Amino acid sequence: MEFVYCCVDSENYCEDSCDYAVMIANNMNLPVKFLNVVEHSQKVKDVDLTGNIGLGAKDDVLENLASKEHEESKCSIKLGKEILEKLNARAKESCKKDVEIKQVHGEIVETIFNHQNDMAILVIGLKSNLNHVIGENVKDIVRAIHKPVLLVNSKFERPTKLMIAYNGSNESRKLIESTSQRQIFKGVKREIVNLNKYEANSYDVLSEAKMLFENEGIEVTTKHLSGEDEDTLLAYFNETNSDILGMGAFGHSRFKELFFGSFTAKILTNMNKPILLFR
Amino acid sequence: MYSNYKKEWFSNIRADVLSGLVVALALIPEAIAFSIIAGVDPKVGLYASFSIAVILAFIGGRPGMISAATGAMALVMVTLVKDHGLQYLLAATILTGIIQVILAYVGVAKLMSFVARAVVVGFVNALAILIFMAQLPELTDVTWHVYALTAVGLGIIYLFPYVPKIGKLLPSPLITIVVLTIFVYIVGWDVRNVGDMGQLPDTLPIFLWPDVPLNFETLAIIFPYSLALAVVGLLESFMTTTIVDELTDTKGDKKKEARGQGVANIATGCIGGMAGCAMIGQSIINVKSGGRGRLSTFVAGFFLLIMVVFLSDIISVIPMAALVAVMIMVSIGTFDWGSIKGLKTLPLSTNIVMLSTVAVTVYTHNLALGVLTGVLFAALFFANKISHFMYCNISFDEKTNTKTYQFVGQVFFNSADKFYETFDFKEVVENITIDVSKAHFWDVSAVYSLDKAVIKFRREGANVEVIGQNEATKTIIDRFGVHDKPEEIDKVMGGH
Repeated sequence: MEFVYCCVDSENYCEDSCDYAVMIANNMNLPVKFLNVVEHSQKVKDVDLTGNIGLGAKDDVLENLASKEHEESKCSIKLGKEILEKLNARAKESCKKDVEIKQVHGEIVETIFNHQNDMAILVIGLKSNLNHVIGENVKDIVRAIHKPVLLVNSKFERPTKLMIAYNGSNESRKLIESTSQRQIFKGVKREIVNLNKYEANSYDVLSEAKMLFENEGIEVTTKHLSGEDEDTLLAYFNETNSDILGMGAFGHSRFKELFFGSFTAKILTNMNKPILLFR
Repeated sequence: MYSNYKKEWFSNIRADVLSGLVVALALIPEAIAFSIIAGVDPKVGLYASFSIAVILAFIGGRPGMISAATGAMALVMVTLVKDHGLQYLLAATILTGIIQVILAYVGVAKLMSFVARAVVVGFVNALAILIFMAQLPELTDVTWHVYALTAVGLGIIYLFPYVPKIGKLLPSPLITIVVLTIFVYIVGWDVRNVGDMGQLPDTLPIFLWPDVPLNFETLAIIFPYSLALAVVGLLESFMTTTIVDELTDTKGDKKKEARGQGVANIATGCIGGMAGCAMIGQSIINVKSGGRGRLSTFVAGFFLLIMVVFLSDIISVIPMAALVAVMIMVSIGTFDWGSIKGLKTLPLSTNIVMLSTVAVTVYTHNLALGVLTGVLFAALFFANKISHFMYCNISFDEKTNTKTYQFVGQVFFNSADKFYETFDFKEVVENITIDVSKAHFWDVSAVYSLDKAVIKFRREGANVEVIGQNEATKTIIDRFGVHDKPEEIDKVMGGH
């Protein structure tokens, strides 16, 4: 059985993620599962620079770390449980299928990776994008799994217009295939846009994408945008009052990204509406 | 599988860099001290520590663990250096690496499951004792100045952290070294310093193929050393991995660590460094300081080299007494104090395993032999315990004049005699039934004792019938695989 997964913690738009997850679950006729990962932080806050070790050093260090993490874990388990209970109640009001909650220990990216077998789509809240910094975890999650991921970075609004950025790449074709065969959003206007310097190239790419949707009996409009950078895309997105941006993500290797930067990452930092990604 | 390589490097940057620096400062005295143990110039150990730490930061299997030139390895190479010189040590280092890579691929990491906890503890304690003993030459036949300096050094190491404000900001081993160096320099005491112990690095390391004839004789000289080095290195690294795993509540990859260490040793031999492995004391210091990621290991190795190459003039005037103080601290911190308290409460067999590991290691200066002894004792004790899991129901049926021996439990080399002695050959009985359907015969010794008993009964004129011999013997362990199903376990455990 498949689920719409919604991964939540305290800091992000958890109620809004919940609302999107429930809406998608109702569209796709699937149950929802809320997942809270209790993670030990790898980041050590209080550095000890004394540099000496005495009798029973190993036992002391172990005892010290264990008691510190004991408190931390207890705290985050309690916090996570509260959120899960709250969202469980909230989701049950409007979700047509079952709602499940699950709390697990582990490393967040790895945990999500291990859950992808029964995952239809993942909904996660982003930390506010005020600082224009996207958490490394989010990038790693999108890279690690081969399922659509909806990043929620704003208050829930029922979407009416979906804009899909399409460049003919494998990642973006997968997104189109999956969204045309199983509709994640219902009753929305869809527009496919292609960023390209040459309109002729754009035409081929766009008509291919249009075909994919028309085969499933879904109406779409297309648009060519001349230009290559993310600003053009964002400007058009805002101009047309679109609600959700769909795109293929991280088509390049990490190595290439190191030198050229990532289009996806730039979009992620500058968007203030939810983004549906597929890799 | 999902890989979190990036996380292993950059999820703890601040603490990793700081702890790496703390470790680098403590690595310098260690590398110098272990070079002296091995009988080579300090630069051999310093280059090795740099190269091993940096390479394992990239390809090791246990982020946050510190590897470098170690005492355990240095002790194994003493006679090689004495009899054949440095070039043969470098060749042996390369061969050690090759052996370790091969061992990694044939799955040596799995063999660690044979090393019982008590052996690990014994190993750690023996290591601590050896590190301490290695400091003794610096403390014998010397003037009172050296004792005074060492005592003051230890005092600073353990008391400086209690100084308000700055106590927690500066590593106390560093303070010890700085204070003692300045003191000796000003007062002008004539005590031995690092510069007297041999050459320090003056350049960055360069590629140098060992200058040895590439023939069978060379191989015959270095192979026994390389094999011992490979085994000792892997043992200490695996044990340190276990300790770091425990401290950080994460899981290291022993196979990857073994392979990485092999590669690191090959490379180290090629730049004029001695073989090394993971260090228990330094790894504890690293975790205590806040180091968790690969970055901490890298910083430790990298700064070690930078400091040594550019500050070699200063390092050469550090009095040996300061290093001895730091090494005594490492030895004290490595020692598993809990195991001494445990002597009273743990079973005697466990204590014997631990103490025998310590005794053999300290006597032979070879940790591999100590561990072998410990493993052997642990296995013998285990066999002895399991042999108690056998009993026999004896019944006599007067009507048919039949005596029945029904055995339940484990029959193997260690319980075979007990099995045989259960039979009463003196009694005159017409029929004997030996029911072994609920016993498990682990080896040929067991089968042999049954055959012996049957023949003995026949000679005494009894008719012998053996029931269930097929069930009992067909499960001789060599002939079948894994018992992970409940019904298989039941069959083997014969009613237990």
